[in-house]
Amino acid sequence: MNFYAVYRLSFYLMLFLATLVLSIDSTDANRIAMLYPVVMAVVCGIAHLTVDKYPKLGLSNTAANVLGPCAFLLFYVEYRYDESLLLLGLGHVLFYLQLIKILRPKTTRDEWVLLLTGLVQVIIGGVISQSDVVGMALLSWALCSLWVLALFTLRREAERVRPTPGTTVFPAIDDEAPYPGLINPAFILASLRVAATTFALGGVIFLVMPRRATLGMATKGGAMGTHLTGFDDEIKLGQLGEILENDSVVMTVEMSDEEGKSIVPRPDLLWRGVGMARYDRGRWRKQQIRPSKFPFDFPRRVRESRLIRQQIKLEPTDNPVLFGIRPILWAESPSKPFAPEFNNIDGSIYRSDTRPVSIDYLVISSVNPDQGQPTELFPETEILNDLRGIDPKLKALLRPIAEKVVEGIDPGDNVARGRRLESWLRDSGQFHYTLQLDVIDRDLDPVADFLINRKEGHCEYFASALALLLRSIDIPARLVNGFKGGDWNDLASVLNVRQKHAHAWCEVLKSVTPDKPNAPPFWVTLDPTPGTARDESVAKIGGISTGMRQIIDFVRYVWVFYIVGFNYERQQRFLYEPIRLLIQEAKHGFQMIEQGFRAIRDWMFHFPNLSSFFSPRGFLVSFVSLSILYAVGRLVWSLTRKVRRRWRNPHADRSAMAVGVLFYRRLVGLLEGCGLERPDWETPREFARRAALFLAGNGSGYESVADVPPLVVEAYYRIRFGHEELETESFAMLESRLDALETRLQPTP
Amino acid sequence: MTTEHRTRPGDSRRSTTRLTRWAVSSLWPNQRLRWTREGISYLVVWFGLLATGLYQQINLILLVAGLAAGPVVASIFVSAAMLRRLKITRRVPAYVFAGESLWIDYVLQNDRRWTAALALIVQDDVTPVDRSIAGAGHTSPRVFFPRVPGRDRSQIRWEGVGPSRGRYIFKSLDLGTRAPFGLLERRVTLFEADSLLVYPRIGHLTRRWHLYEREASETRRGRRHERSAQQHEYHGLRDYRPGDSPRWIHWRTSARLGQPMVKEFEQQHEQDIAVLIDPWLPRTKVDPKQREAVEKAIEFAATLCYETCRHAGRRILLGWTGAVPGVRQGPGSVKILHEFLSQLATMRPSAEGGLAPLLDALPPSTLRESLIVVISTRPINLYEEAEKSSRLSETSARGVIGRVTLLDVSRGDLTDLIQFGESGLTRVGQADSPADLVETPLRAARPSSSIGEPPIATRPGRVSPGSRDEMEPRP
Repeated sequence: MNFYAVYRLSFYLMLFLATLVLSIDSTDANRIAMLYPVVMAVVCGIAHLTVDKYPKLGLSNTAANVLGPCAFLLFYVEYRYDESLLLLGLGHVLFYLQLIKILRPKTTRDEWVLLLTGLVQVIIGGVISQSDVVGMALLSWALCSLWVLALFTLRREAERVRPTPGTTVFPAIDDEAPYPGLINPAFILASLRVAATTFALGGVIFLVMPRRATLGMATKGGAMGTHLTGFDDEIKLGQLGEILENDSVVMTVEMSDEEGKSIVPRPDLLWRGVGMARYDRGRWRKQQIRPSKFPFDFPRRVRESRLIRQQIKLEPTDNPVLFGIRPILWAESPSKPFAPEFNNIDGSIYRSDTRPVSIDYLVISSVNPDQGQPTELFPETEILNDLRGIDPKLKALLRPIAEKVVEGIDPGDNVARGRRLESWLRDSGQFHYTLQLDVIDRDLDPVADFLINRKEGHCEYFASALALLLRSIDIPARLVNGFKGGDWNDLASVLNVRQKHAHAWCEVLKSVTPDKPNAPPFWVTLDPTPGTARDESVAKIGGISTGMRQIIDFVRYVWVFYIVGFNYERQQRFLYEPIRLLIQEAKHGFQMIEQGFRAIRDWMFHFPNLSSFFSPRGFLVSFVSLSILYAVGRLVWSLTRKVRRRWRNPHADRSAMAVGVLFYRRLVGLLEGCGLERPDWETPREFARRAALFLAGNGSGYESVADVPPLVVEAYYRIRFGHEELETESFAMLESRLDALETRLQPTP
Repeated sequence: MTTEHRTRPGDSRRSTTRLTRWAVSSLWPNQRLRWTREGISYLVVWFGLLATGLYQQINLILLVAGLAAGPVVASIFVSAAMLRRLKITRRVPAYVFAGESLWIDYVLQNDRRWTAALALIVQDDVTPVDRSIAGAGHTSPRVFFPRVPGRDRSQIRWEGVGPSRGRYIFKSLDLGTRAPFGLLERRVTLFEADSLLVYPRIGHLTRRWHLYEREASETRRGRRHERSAQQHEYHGLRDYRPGDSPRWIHWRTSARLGQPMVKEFEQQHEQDIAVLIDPWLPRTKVDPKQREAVEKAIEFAATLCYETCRHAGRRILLGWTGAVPGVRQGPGSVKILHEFLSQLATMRPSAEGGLAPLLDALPPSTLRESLIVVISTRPINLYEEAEKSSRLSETSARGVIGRVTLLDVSRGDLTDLIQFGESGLTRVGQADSPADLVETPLRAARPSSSIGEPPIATRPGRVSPGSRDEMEPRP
């Protein structure tokens, strides 16, 4: 396969993916956003077939100079069209400039520019949206970029390393195919290995990057957040059915107990959202909001109670409603603008800032459902009237039905009466669960129509019917919208709550007067919806097999919690705290070892008096200590000698050999100093003879040292070739003779 | 030499030795990393990315920054892996003529099983031992190995022009790679010492020189005719000159032309020659022209030796002045030529000594009958030198001086006597190239890299068979 063809195609694929990252989640803001990647692909294809093969077909400088300003003009038009799309517009400018560059003959410098503009596009795409689709596109781009960068380096190296003028290299590099046979299974395998290493290292670096504790925990999802129907201030009966057929994830929940151990939630867990008090002709209105802080002494409560910790990652929505398991004891978010607030009128939690961003928040709930919602206010008279409020006509219709069902139950026992009605709606078999809603009598109230005529509907009808039946017999009740259950993921140990899990149920006030002064009201949850039928209906939505859903949910979980949602708290929890714990453990272990050694030392060296030293123990201690000291000394001495030998002469190991060579080298050095050099063709012996003649012929005292060269060379020969070892006296004699030679050769002042 | 260990003599397997070796190599690493230009640009962009991500606390940008850091960190490890289990061998000729073609073979062997070695650069360094020689400088051969598959080897030949005369050493060579991402360059320095002897530049002796030589030979006094002219080859006829032996008269031609003609022999080939060089330079204030004169003198001497040794049988002597005058002699042969050229290659100018001590060191036979060519870089008075000599009597001095051809380079005596062709690369393959006459043996590859290695194919880009030392004589 041709190297350049692979390189070009990879390069264009990378540019396409960069444009995809920019465009894939901006279709809401720009209707033609998905056209950009298509245009990029087409232009890349044209460039590959034309300008890359025949550079003459590329855009001329003039054409490029004309088109450049046009790119900025288009950006200006886009900006004027919608000023909020400044960032996206900048990404598009880069796109236009890329197109111009692609259609021109490209140097390696141009390719660098294209690569960097692609990177900037990706950054813009990441700033605009952090949804999982952008993430997938981004990871694809990153993988492709690695591959391109590697090929780019190979290409650049082949071009960079050219022979300098005046030199040639054989065989010369083939310009057309500088790396023949490069693309083979071994190369692809090696590339994958490098990519895996790079990604792993990049992932580790990403995880250890510092996160701030207070900012940035809320992350943007798409250009617009999802609107959760059924959680507005006013809802029309039946609206909830719209989201019951939707498979999108609303929130992802990690659940743990008070010790932080992961727990598997019950399938019928109710995620309480918003409470509805007023009912008027098929419309429910939300209870008023009175914000209050969470007044709990949270750390103390942790020690006292059994708790459920819910770490919730809420997908971007434009609703202020937050969800949690009742009774809620505490809720917090690392992101201050989106911190949960408590509504003490209905015991729900919400956020003030309704910007469509993804929010991380923690809810701590009590395991005990009979505890009631702490700090929720007992309904005032006006509110109580709302909670008992029902249209007289409707009341007249429903009261006989309710009374008939609750006949024989103590009129003061609201809960018992409520449970009887709940059971009647859910278990009597008269009512059925369905998402298909047909109005039979338009003149009737929808709830009355459900109870009297239709007798089938979804949870909202069941819950509304129960609430109104209770109100018809003067029992305060309210409708609650939230979610029931979710898809538990075994791989990630998280619960994915989807829109299809939306649910409505009813809460009945146990007593209209507080049991104790300042005690919170006790609301009992009643769920009249037939559970099995609902579960079957929920299971039908989505259409993906359980195994596949587990995998998809797991990938999504990783993305949501550990990439996009990897915040300070998670970093501390999953990275730094285990490391700290590990260090502490190691420290503890070392301390134990140290203590052990100390104990042994104390035992060994503790001699209260001199006579105790002269004992078997004293002998043992002395013997062991001296042995260790001796061994250490020998080792140090041996290593020192070796290092010194190597330091002095790395090319000789044997001591005798080293000495012989040193003598010879010294002689050579001395003679070199006076101009006598040994050429290659002269043996040391010949050289020594010549040197002796030279010294003898020089007169004036040189004769006395003329014998030194042959003497040293003979000794050198004996060591070097004869493998003999000289005696110490011989070494001393050679040393002294060389000293004499050196003294003689020194210039006289 | 492998990229993992430096060559150490001795093969001790003792654990302490290994430990020491490991400790020394750890303390003195032979690898280094440096940022490339692209890497620096990449780093700047990465810092921008990181700053944006940290400031905005946008995890997706932090993710991009993290992934972008991956290639930098991976480059550190992957480049090290890329250089692992590679062997690089340098093959250099034992000697080369200055200005002629110099080639060096680099063989890269990849001992890895699968992974190919990619985009590797070998950077060598040829350093002159004696920097005082005019024109001696560094040469940095550089070759690029695009791809060497696993369990394979590749050879690339670098060709350049031989530098100025002298001894050159190859201390170490760098093997570098920018793979896989071009952000960092890792270089491993391999201490593979080697040396190269660059002989002086060889020129062509001109016709004028041959005339000089002939005249000096013919007009010399005290020449001996013990060698029979019949044994010599004659190459032409010329007019009779006074002093010519009647035996040389070619009677038939003389009769035909009506004037005496004598046979002209290749006498200069027969007569022994002594080339005495006096590479004098003042101790201080050396003029570049004087250095140039020394080089010219040496080149002329080398050319003379070269021309003389082309024909076997004629004795030649090379003598040089200096603090310690030196003399080498022998019958003309390739071997003696190598000796002379080696001596001339490493010859250093000297401010000491003179011709007289050198004349004293000459063998008596040379003084008696050889043609003596004195090449000096300063004006020389032969009579004064003869007087200084302790061995020459007045009579013998006259005889010697009569056979001396004195060439003073500083005076420009060599201008018309020698010519130089174009530089080496253009002369490769020409029949009269000195490299063709004195076949250049290959310096042996290191035994460590050739022992047990499989035979190597001799296709282009592959390694040729190992050492040719056994096949060709070395000086």
